[in-house]
Amino acid sequence: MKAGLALVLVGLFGLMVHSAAALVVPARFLPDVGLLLVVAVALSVRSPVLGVLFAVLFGYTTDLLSGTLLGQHVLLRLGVYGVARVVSARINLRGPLPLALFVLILSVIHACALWALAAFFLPGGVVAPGVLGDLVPHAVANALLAPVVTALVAALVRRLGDDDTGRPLRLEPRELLS
Amino acid sequence: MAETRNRVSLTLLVVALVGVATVTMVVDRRALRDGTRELPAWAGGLLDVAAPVQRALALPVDFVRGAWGRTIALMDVERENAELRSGIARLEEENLQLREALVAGGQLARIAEMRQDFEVPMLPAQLVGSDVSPWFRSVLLDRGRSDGVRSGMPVISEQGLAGLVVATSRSAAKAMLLLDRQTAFDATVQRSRARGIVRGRGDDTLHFEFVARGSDVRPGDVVITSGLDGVHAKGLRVGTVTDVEPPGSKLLRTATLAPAVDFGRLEQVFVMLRRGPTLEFLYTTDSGDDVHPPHTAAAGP
Repeated sequence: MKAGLALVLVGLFGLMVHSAAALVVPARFLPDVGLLLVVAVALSVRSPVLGVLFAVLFGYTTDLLSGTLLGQHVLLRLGVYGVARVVSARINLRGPLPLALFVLILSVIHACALWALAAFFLPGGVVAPGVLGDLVPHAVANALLAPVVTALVAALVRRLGDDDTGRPLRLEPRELLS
Repeated sequence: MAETRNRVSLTLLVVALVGVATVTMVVDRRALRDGTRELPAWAGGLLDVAAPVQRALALPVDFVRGAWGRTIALMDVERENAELRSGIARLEEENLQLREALVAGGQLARIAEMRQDFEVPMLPAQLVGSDVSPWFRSVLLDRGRSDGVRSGMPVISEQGLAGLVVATSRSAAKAMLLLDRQTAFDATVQRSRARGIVRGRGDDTLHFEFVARGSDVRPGDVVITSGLDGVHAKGLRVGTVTDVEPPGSKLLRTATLAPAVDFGRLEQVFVMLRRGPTLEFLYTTDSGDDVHPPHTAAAGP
């Protein structure tokens, strides 16, 4: 409960800082804080229901602070959460390098999915060539920051978590024998 | 058994959330198209919380940027003074000549009356946040419904047209900048009166699409709003033509515009507290909430 509340507050504050920073730093050099938070939650929070709810909340807040339609980032963040869960169950993403590589690829897929949704739902869906060039620094910024955000979220969940998230699994021999 | 039940519950939850998100998108798209996009209270509440927090976060950044800007400005002040003096002299001369011409035509009193009718109240607003997605161009303003701001109101700076309010909450508003790919409006070349459509491209330039035959558009031409789209007022500066596509067999030609507004340095804007006739007409059909701005300032581009 405590960890959940802290994650919500940290996530919302992170998105607000992102929006304020975008006033001075070109958006292509800024990492997508919402996406990184959802990936971090997928890797650190054990309960999938909680994870899905976090993804929806962060997605909706991103929609509010962005020019997208309400619900567009919600769909994408749900997708990001699902992909992160599935991939982390098959590949070890604990190290910074595999995680950075995963987020780099995910950022490109995420941007393509966002463009596809925008092209379907909004007028003027054609992407300018200059915008495509912005994808590389944006994906790299995401990849570089992903291990840091994931480590912070994992630490937060470990510190405040009142479930067994992030703790080593312990077997009770007596229970097993009985 | 319990695991299967959990899995089914999770699947149902995800399906329900995907459904809700899709419906929200469809509804929001319709509201955006109709210009009737007012955020619901719970979503607006989140924006109301975000605006003051972001204003506080932006304060140190604004301070550093302002101090740097003032230092640079001081270095240029002497040269600027000389330029301004000569500019004022030229404009005074021009003004005198125009007045003479108007008086001669007996139209001065009529124009003064018309100006009273057309003057639009302006509300100064501060930018407190920018788009968190690099593929869209919108900004968060620190004024909302309680200040009289409504969806569909143009946003300008002293340099020209900056964008359009697309969503409002009680004390904050979201404005889509001209550069956004969703932007499209009717415009005119000031010199030749050639008409066309200005479109955002998602990068730092604009496109001006005009009918190839009979339109005279050249680099250096100033493009202004035509007022014919029913959303923007007439005569707002949009940008300057930097490049024109060579004539070919196509019906439409495209010119590239450099926006009049320097979006990288945009800090303060003015919301024009009057929607275009099309949006006003749409709004009279619903609750009929009129705009009564409590704090207005007379300013213009």
